[in-house]
Amino acid sequence: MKSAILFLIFFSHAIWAASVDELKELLHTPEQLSGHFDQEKYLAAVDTSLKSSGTFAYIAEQEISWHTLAPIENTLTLTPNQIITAQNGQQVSVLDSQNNPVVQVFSDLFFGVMTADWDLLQTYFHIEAHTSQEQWQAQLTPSDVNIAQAITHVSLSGGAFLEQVVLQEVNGNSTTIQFSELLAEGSQ
Amino acid sequence: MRKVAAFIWLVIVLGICSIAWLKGPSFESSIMALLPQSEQSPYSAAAMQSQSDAMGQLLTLMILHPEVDKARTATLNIQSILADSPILLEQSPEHLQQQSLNPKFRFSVLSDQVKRRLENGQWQQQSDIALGQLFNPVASAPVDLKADPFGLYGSFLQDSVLSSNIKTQQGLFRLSSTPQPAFVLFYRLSENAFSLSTQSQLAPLLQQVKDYASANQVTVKMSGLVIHASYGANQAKQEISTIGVGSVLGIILLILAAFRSLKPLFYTLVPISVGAMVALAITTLIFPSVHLITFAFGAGLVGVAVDYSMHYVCAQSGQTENRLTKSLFVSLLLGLISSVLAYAGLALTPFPGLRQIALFASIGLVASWLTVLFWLPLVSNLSNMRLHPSIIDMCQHLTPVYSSKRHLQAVFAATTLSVIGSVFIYCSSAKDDLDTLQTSPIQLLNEDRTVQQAMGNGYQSTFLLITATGIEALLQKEEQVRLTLDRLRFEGDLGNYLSISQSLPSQAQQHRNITLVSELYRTQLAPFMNKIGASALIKQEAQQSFNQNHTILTLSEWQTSPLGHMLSSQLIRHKDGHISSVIRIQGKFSQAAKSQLQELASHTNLVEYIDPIADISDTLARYRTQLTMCLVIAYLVVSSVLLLRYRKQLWQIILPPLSASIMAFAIATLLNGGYNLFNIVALMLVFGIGLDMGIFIKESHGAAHTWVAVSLSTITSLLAFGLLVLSETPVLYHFGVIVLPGLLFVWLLTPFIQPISYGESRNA
Repeated sequence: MKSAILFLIFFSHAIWAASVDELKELLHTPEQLSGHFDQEKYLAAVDTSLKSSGTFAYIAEQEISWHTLAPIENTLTLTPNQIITAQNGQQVSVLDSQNNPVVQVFSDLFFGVMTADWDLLQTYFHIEAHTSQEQWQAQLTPSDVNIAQAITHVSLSGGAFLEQVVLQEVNGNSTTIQFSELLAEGSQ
Repeated sequence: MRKVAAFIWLVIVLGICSIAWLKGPSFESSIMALLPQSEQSPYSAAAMQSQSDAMGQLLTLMILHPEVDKARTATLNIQSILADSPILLEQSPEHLQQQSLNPKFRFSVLSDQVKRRLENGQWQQQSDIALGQLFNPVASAPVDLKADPFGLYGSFLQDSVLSSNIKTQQGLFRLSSTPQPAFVLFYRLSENAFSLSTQSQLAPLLQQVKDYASANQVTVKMSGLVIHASYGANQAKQEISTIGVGSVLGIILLILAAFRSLKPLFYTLVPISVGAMVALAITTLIFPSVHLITFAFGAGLVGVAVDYSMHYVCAQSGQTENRLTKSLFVSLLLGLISSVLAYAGLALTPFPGLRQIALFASIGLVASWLTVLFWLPLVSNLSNMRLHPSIIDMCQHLTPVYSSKRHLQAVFAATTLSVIGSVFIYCSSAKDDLDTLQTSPIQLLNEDRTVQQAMGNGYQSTFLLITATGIEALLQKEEQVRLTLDRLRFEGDLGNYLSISQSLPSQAQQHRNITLVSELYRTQLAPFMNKIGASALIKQEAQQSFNQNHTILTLSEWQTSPLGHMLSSQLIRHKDGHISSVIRIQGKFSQAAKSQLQELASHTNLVEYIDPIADISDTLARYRTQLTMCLVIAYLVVSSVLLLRYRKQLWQIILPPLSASIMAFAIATLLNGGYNLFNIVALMLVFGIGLDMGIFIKESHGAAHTWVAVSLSTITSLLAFGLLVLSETPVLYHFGVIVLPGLLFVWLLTPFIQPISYGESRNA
């Protein structure tokens, strides 16, 4: 089934597909990946940058956990159906993404970006990719109306793994995430 | 003298009918109107009415196609097809695009989660959660550091009922819960769903939509009471043109074959029509409104009057002097008394519906009977009309020759079968579920359910009704009841619930909420702002924004908000100034939750637990029990009256209808896996016609013309009511399935019980 979809994509978007194909060759999408992150979130309305750092881990198609360690402790766990927030080992909120379209889009976006799932991202964005040697960069512009109301563009870059995400919001806010100390297990 | 009597009767009939006409007959179709008045509070009746009205006016269309663009185009095209209709008002997506509640109430109207945390003094936790939101890479709700640093409004929106499976996409509603792309169109009917004009206006439009859908390979699923109502009306129309025309043709052919003249048909129809008219007039004058079920069944029971006309016509045909003989009068009188006694028993029950039927049927019979007595001797000209000899011959050939051996065999067979039937009935149980009133086929119901589920409207039909003297008292009481609901939800016994006080807390609660939030700001704002490194100015602005926003949400302001619009049918104002609110239950609803809520309702004044489906089944069951009692009493009373005249021969009159009823009932029970109210109503008709047959034959000593008369009236009744067994409408089917075998058995059995002698016939 998946290959059938890819086959269709190849022939309907021949030019685009070539570069995504290159992206796929460059970028590894392991079964499991974990590492360290540094995030800087700029809030335009109050002209303040919020810096945070922590660890993250994902298991392909099952779960992503985003564990902020500083300045506060907070764990965000995403599964394909739920978004769970926990603090100090206690669940503080569980959102069912199936009943909530906003949460669904958020979840898809997070999964898509973190695991560089181009097929999933393609349902929400136009993708433009550039490669040079072992490095690559992808510019994502929203094609979905709901996302376009909130997000201007997303840029992803890296080598063997995803290394940086920059998310530009309509209201002027932006988020930059750097990944480091990456540890992969298994390969797809 | 006879002319004077006939004239007086004409004046009476015209008088009664015109008085009733002036009052104007009003019909009632709500099943709740059949319930005894004292059993339901006036508040719950109004609530059920308002809930069913609110549901009844909605029409929802779901449009599916594997490709989003095609689904979208199809939706726009269907939208333009329906835009022409003046009775359909489209519910535009605009009200969903607005914020469900103005954010200025973010401090007085809190989400359940936030309220619980603050009430438990978990100030720090609320602050940490807001921080967590802020540090998440992508926020699921936007955070406004100045107006609402603790994300109170975001939490309210997330909890809010409007965040359902429906989102707006380019001016249309898109469903997020279906695997295929799906759009929804919502309409509100400007007129009653049951009105025939609504249905006739809507039917061609919906057909156009279906044609469009099949031409473009789009799936369209519809949901709404109007779909079921128009299906029922169509079905009834179709059945009238098949079963109805069939039975009318059959009756005309029968009369033509028997008399070579259509006049007897006229002599039969006039008394029945006069009977039904007078019955309707008097019921209108006595009761505030006539229930449609009364009219349907009452008119059916008046059908017994066909016996009087037939008996008169057959007895008098070929006679030069057209008058009522004494023996004819006696048998007609006995026939009337027994049937009226049988039906009048219904008046003793506490059910308004049954009382109406009793009055209607008794009055109808008496009026028909009087019409036969006063008018037929004058208007009818029977001297030239004879029963056709070939019919008499045929009857003679087909009627079994009476012998005492056959008599004994028949009695033995009837008794044995009745005993077996009784045992079988005793071992079976009743089926009082709503299906007997349900006319829609299963695929239509499934389609409806699919649409509702896709929209996430998994609401239970059961609801809680809270009543108070004013809005503030009502909301406070609702908040009290919600403590139990919250506990049940926490324990997993209850999925979710939808109440007014969730978006419109009582004034007292709103003031408490503001106090809680001011404590949150006092203890948490400074450390929160420090953690994110915000400037002192931002902290000051946030505090100011809170201080300036202590607005309390009022009822009138809530009513104009999208949430208020959506929940408006859940708030009911009563004529006596009381006000009620409905709490709807969504998703899981365990037995434990049901019994706990019933317990709560029984202990708390003006809190009611209402289960409309169970109420209707319950009503049907109680009517059935009462009616069964009436039937037994009718048999006993009629038997004891007739005992005075027939002494030892009484059993010859009672046995045929009794055993036929038992056998018919057993057969219907076997076929349908249970019995119900409508079967019992049909048994009353079998009893009435069966009694008449026995009495007429007994009184005429088995004269051939009498046998022909009762045979004709039996076949007429079989054609009129027995054919209802072919009906797809459950209520009519359950009536027919008893009448058909019941009357057949009475008719087959009678000539074995009482001798029919052809030698004595005047016509032979």
